[in-house]
Amino acid sequence: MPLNIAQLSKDMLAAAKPALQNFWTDAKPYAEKETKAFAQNLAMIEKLRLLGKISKEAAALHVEIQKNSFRTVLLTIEGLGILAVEDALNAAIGVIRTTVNKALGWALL
Amino acid sequence: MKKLKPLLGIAFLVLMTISCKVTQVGRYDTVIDKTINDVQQQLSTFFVKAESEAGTPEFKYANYKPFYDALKVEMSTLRIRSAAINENAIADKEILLLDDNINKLEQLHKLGINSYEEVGVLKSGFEQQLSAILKLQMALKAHVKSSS
Repeated sequence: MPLNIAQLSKDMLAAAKPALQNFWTDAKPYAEKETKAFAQNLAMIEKLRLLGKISKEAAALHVEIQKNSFRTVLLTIEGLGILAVEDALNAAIGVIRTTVNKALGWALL
Repeated sequence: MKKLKPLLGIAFLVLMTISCKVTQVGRYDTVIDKTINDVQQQLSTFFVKAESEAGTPEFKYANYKPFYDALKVEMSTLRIRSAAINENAIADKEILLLDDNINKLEQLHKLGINSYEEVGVLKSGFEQQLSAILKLQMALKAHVKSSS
């Protein structure tokens, strides 16, 4: 029996959607909160420097620390995204596994 | 079979993509997770003390040298293990950024950390970084469970 590609695509999309939606629901507020914290910290460093409470050298070190922290946040979001894509792919493959394997006559998926 | 050829190609690409992408994130490891939690606790204790001591003679770098030495030992364990398990993966890059920040914190301490506000900025930055690292570790742990 030939595979019904339209139906398989529909089933795969429906299976993949929750993993991607969950990722975006978590990632969006997280990214917004951490971006705001990054900006606030940079503003505080600028204020401390303008008030003469920290040296130029110290200010540069402070900025580098904040940049490293924000880089870490972005790397985590990237990592969570990749894991979500893998979950979505696994879910999508899961729903078509039986149909495709049966059509091929051996366990590809 | 002819009709299935494109599908086979797609399935192969999908499987290759999955295997490559997971390597890019890293693998969950209990020792790395535990060591990150230990580092987080040490830094939290440090910042609590720093908030009350900043600008006082008690907070001079010499008094905190043992703290940095202990932290460097933990970070060395973390770096070596992470590189062995997750070389160049996202989780490994995060460990290297944390290590770099601890070195910069030490440099700042040598210059002098003199106010509650300055400690506040540092505390906020480290909390942001450690939360991000732990968030990814928790996701990797959950992923191991869901994949098995």
